[in-house]
Amino acid sequence: MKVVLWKILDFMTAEYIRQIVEILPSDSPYFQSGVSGQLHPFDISSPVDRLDLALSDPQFGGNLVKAYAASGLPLPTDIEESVLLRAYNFLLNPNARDLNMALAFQIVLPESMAQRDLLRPLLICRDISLRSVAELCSLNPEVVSIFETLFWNCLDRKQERPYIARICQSQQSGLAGATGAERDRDDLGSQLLRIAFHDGRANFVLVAAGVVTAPQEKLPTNKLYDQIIRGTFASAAVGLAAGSVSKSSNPALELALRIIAARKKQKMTDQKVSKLPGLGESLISSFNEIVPSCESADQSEFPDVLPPPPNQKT
Amino acid sequence: MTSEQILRLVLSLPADSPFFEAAFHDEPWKWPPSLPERLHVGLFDPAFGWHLSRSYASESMPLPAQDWPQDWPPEIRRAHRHLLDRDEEDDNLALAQALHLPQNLAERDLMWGLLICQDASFEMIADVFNYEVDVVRLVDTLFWNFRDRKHEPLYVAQVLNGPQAGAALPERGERNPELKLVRLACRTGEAKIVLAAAGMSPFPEESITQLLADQIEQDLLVQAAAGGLESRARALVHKYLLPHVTPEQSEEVDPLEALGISQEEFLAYRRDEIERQLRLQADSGPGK
Repeated sequence: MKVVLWKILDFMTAEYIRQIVEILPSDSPYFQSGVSGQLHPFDISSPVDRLDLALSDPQFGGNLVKAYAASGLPLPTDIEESVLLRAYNFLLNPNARDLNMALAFQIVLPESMAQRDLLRPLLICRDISLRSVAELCSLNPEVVSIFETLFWNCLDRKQERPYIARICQSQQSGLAGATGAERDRDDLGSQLLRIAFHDGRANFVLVAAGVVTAPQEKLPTNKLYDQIIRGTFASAAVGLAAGSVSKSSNPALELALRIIAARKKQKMTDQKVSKLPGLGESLISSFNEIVPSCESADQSEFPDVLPPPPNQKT
Repeated sequence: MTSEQILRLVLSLPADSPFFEAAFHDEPWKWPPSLPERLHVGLFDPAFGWHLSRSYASESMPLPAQDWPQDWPPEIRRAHRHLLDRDEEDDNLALAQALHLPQNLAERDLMWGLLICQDASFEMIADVFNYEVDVVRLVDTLFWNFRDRKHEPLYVAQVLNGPQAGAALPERGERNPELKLVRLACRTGEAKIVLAAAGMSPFPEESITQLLADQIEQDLLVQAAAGGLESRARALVHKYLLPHVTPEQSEEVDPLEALGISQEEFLAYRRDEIERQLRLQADSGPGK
């Protein structure tokens, strides 16, 4: 079966991956290499497990070509996507003068973790395109495109919010794609992914990464407070929905309640103030009761049509 | 030196160039390095100029003549000449080099931090250190190539957070420096904050105190917003900062507003009342 490509820009969709998985034999080098990276029991003979492995792997393209190149096996002939073929050829000859491919592979070197920690969240952000990310990072757009396709597949699956959530979390939990050094750490990389996923603004990611050197790029303080409060509420709500009310199981609850109580108190104060007539209002109404205003006096004393003056003959 | 200039040069170097030999000297298992690895050590080394000139000089080799870009800073050739012939005096280069000795960590961190700030000229930095401008330029070109690349977030991230940050030092293998002032400079971009943090501010104390306070609040909020729920930064915000922004304590309340009357309302009422009283007085006055 030939894997048909729909469009160059969004070929690495869940559907495309599913089709690839279908044509791979169960003992494919990709599945064999994937076994070691799994925290959960992985049954290579199970089609469901194999599909789940591939669908949850943000580095599916990269891991696929790496596994085949490392095993010395050719890529299945049904795979015709040029980026995959180029990457496979590059791996067989890493000194080949495919500069953009080399630059993309440079980003996934173990020592380039700091670059990945920034580039991944930028690609997750909702307010920036791939081209803009490339421009921002002074990279050729093709380098970013190759990296995204092979090592951080998110743009073609942006609509799959659970998948995006999963890959943002899995970089730290040791699921597919995470290297040993990346596991078990809640460091800058995971913080930036959290911002990108929840907030979605590239500028916030850059500021949090501490890589913006312009003072005018500071974020508005009130928005940061909002963000913190929102995060606290979300966490408290999730914990509460699961029945957690203790401080140890739901630490956000107490913090959220403190904020809610303060808001309620303020709301009640506001309502009291708005319901009770203020000093000014009271004074005005008392004054009006005692001294009728000119307008009301005019209206009560004169009819709409004035009678003719006394000296005027009719 | 821009990334394009460095890329051109790195691509022109043979794989067994002294530069790569020196770069991978402590990692023999990587030899021969792949193209991505060679690109990495060239493109993400803030001391690329120094390492390049030193690696060729230590092998008593001339700098690669072929493809040597015309627009390259002369400081690299100067360093190479100096390293080839130690007897040739170059006091400013010696000063720049001395600044990168381990015992001068604090001064170096300040110099690097100031070189990041966009409001700090070479002249201003030279004044702070009482150096000639030439020394600052040498540091910028040879040891801390940041000015030309500070708008590249991946480069900045790699230099600040990558394991190769130690490569910025003349001696490879030295531990990653803390780069405290450098990080502050990256976050603020303002020389006066960096100088204040280093305890060398020439500005009035009050304004600096406020600047630093604002910076602390901003940084803590960013870290709290970015960090997990149980992060220390978030706990600190909840404890010290959030109580002051919750509505009941947010700002000083105008006594008139507390009574449910606005300033405009009060003034309008006063004006109307005065006019009315004047009218009444005029109507009921003598002769009426």
